[in-house]
Amino acid sequence: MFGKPHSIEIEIAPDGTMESTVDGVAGPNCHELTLWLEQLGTVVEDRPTDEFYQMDGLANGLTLGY
Amino acid sequence: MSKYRKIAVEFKDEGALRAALQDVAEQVGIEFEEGQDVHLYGYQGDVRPETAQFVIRRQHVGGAANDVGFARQPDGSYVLIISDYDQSVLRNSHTFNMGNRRAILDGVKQRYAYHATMNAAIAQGYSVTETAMDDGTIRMQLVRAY
Repeated sequence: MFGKPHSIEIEIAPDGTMESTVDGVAGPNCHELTLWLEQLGTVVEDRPTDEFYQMDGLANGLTLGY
Repeated sequence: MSKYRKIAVEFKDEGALRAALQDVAEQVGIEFEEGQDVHLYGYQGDVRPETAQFVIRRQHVGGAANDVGFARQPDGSYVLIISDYDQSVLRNSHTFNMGNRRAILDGVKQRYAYHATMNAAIAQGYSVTETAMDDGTIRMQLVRAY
């Protein structure tokens, strides 16, 4: 969600393979935060970690449809 | 941690590609040329029909190598121009003398990913810290307070 502090960790292997993970944002909103990273190339693997399935706080009333 | 994504980087940022080539040229101790439609040459000095904007001449690539180039496409991205022979060397490192092929190609990919990510991250308002890992991996930590 925009407006929340967060960090993104990126690892670039010696062969140029790049992986990214987002910290500090639960739920599908973190996807929006890394859309710009997709512009760097082609996404070859994209999976949520456990935190993805958590509610992003009750205050915003978000309900996940997954 | 809530998102995991693996991205195959494409050469879309000309500035990042140039910076990557400069890094690799320094690391490996080679040179590259930049220009409009620079012709590539084969291992016997024969001019090839292919042209590119960035070219690494064959003597910098390795024994019996052909020139390697990065050619601009109509959409502004760049593609790697490399001969079948040099690709076969890369696939058969136990048979052939690799020369600088692996160092050049992997190096350009890694340094390009680094520069392209840095450019985009700064444009997105992130502050970036980086760490060089023992295994050669570059770790970048991007932080934004909003």
